[in-house]
Formats: sequence, C-alpha cells, structure tokens
Amino acid sequence: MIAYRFTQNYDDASDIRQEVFVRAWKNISHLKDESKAGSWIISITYNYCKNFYRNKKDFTPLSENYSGETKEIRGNESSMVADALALLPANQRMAIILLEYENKSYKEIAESLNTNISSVKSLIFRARGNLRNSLDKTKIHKHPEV
Amino acid sequence: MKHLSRADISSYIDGEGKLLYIKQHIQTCERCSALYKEMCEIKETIKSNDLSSDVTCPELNLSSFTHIKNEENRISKTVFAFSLFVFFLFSILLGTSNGKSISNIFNRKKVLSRNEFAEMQTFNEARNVQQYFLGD
Repeated sequence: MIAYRFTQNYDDASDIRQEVFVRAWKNISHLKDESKAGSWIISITYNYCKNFYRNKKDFTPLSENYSGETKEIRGNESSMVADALALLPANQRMAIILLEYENKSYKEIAESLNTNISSVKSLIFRARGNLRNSLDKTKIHKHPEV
Repeated sequence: MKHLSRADISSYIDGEGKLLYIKQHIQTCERCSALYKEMCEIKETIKSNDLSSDVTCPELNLSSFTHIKNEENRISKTVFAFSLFVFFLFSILLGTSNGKSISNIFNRKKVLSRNEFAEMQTFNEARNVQQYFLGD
C-alpha cells in the first residue's frame, strides 16, 4: 500500500511489492529485533522506490501518469493533492505518507528512513510548506491571512 | 515576545515536541495561532484525500514470514549436520575397505619397526659371511 501511495501506479507498486518481498526474504537473517520488522520493511520499500525511478529510463512524473478517467474517479481535490504530493522530493513524500496515511510516529518514520527525529521534523515541516505552495496554486487550500 | 517556528508548530499538530509550552503560546499569540490554523488545514486537506481509497492490497504477514524463514533455517542446519555425519561415516568405511583398518593405521609405527629389525638381522648375517671369507 505504501508503494502504491508513493508511486500512484498500480503496476509499478506491484513490481515494487514483489521485489521488496524477495529482498526481505533474502535478508531476514539481518533482522535482529522482530518488533522493528515493520520499520525494516518500510525501509526496504523506501530504498527500492527511490532506486526504482532512478533506474527506470521511461519515468514520467507522477502527475502525468493519471488518465482522465482516474482523475474523474478520484475527484478533483484528491487529484490535486496527489499532484502536489508528486512534486515533493522522495524523502518528504515518504515522510508525509507515513505520517498522514500510515499513522506512524516521528520515531517510527525516523527508523524507516534511516535518519533521526529532528530530520523527520524538518522533512515534515518542509513537505507541508511545499504542499501549501502547490495547493495554493490550485486554490484548494485557502489559508487565512497572517 | 518570541514567536514559534513553523517547524515547532508543525510538530505540535502531530503531537510531538514541547506540547505544553506550544499550546500555551498559541493561546496567547495571534500570529502563531493563525499559523497553527493554517497548518491544521493543510494536514486535514492531505489526510482527507487518501490516495489509495480506491485500491485494495494484501498486506505482508510478517509473523508467518519469519516463522517460515526460521523453519527453513532449522531444516537447512539439520540437513547440513546429517550430511556431515554421512560424510564422516563414509570416509571411515572407505578407509577400511582399502585394507587399511583403523587399527592398522594406529599400529603403523609398530609394523615399521619390525621391518627395520628384520633388515638389521639380514645386515648382520651378511657381515658375518664377509668376515668368514675375508678373514677379518
């Protein structure tokens, strides 16, 4: 599900899920603490998602992947949020996905992204700033005058 | 009055950071309160537009995954130990079938010293014959 939220492409997400499963299977002996298995799997998924698009030569930005039909099904607002998320750098996008849709804490996000809590705090804050700018352009989000 | 940073407000709405201090500040500061509301709106907009609401996906059952892997490791260790045992047994049997039983291997030194003794006896006899003919 994380892979789908990250890529917004069902076929790519299926490929990623398959590869993540194989990698996890091969490296399960490296997992010392089973309570951190969730973060470990997310970490593998995140690293593979990054490399997947780096290696994919015919990569098209996320917003260009949507067909008109998909946009219609999703609704205008959801599509705009998806577009705004697509414009975020990979680490910010993954941090927001884990926080908002997977309900992970900053500590869990830090473990999954192999970073520390203050970096996560910064990533989330910058991601929200970027999302606000993107959504302002599309007029979804109307923030009050400061 | 010192205002809160956007990063602090952002972490506050996620329930992280110095909660009590930020809460008190937001109640008294108009500027930070407005920022807080703005960020709450962004959070709500993102959260209410779940990207995967139209997709279902089977989740990975990690406990069964680790159980299968552990079982596999246990089986491979057992197979390895068994094959090692068979190899050891086979090497012993092979040594015995070549006419070199284990007792022969350990008694090798004793057999050799007997041979040496026989050689020495032959040498002494030859010397005696030589002495007889040469008259030494």
